[in-house]
Amino acid sequence: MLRVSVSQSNLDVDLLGIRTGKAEGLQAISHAQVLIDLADAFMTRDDLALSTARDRAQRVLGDHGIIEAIGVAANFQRMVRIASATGIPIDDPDAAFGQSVRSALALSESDWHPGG
Amino acid sequence: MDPHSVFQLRPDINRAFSAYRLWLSQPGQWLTGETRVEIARATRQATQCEACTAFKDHLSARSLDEQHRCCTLLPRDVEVMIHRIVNDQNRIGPSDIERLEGSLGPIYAYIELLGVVVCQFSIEEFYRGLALPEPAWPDPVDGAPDGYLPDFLESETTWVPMIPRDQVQPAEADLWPGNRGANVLRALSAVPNAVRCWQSLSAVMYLSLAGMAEMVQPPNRQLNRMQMELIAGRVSALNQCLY
Repeated sequence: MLRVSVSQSNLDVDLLGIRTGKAEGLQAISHAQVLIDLADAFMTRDDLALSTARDRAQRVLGDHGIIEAIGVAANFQRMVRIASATGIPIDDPDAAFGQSVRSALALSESDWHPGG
Repeated sequence: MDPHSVFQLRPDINRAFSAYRLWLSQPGQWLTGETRVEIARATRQATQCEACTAFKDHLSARSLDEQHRCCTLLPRDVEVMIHRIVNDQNRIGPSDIERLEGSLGPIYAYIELLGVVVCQFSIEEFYRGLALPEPAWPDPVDGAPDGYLPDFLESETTWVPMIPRDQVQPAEADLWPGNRGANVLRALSAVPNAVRCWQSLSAVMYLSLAGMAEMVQPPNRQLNRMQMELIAGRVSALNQCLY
C-alpha cells in the first residue's frame, strides 16, 4: 500500500527503509524516522523506550497524530496474526507489481514464514 | 494521555471498542459468551507469559507447552494456542489447529477464537501503545451459540474453510466489495461476524475498506496516507509478515 500511495504522490522513496529501519530513502515522507522509531519502540514492548519514542512523536505529530500512529501500529498487530494463524497465501492480482514491491524490499520466497 | 482525552479526541474509536465489547460478551456462532470473554482474558495474559518470551526462538517450543502461564477457565491446550497466536504465530501449522478439535470443537470454533484473539489483542496493543490503563471485562451474556454457517465454504486455499470469492450470498454481501475478497478478508469468513468485527476496528484504527482503496489523505485524520502505510509496513516487517 505504501508503494501505491507513494506512486500516486509522485515522490521518490526507497522502500528498503521499511526493512532496515533507516529513513534515508524515505525522507519524502514527513517525519519518517520519528514514525519508524515509534514503530520500533512499540514492537520492543519496552515501556521506557516506547514512552520516549511516543513523547518525541507526540511533539511533532500532535495528540491526534500520536493516537492515529499507535492505532495503525496496533491494527497491524492483528493483520499478521490473521494471516499466520490461518496460513493464507499472499494474494497477487498483479504479479508484476507484487514482484516489484518484493524486490524493493529485498524479499525472497525464503523470507516468508513457514506457515505461509 | 488519559483515556478520557483519547476518546474525547476520537469518539469513533470509543464507539468501536464499546461495540466490540458488546460483541465479545454475547454468544457467538460456535462459542458461548463466557468462553469468548475467557479467550479475551487469556489474550491479555499471554502478553505477560514469561514462557512465551523464553521459548520464542526454541527449536521445539511445543515440547515446553506445560510451562506456559495459563490462568483462565479454558482447556490448557486452547489457552496455549492463544499464547501461540499472540507470541509465536509464524510457527502455527494446520496440525496445531486439528489438535484443538477435542477441546474446542469444530474448526469453526477455532476461527471464532482467532477472531476474538486478534480483535482483543489489537485493542490491548492500542491501550499499551498510549499507556492507558487496561479496560474492564464485560459480563458474559448467557445463551447458546447459534451455529450459523455461510451457505458456501471452500477449503482449497488454506487450512481453514472460507467463503469463495465468487459465491458470496446476500447475507454476507457486506464483507467485501464485489469479487475483491482478499485472502486476509476471507480468512475468518466462515464466522462472518468475526470479519465484521475486525473491519469495524480497522476502520477507526487504520482505514475502512473503502478508505483503503482511495489512496489519498483520509478525511479527518492528521497523518497522511504515506505516514500511515510507513508505520503499517514497519510493524509488518518486524513481525516478519509479507502479507
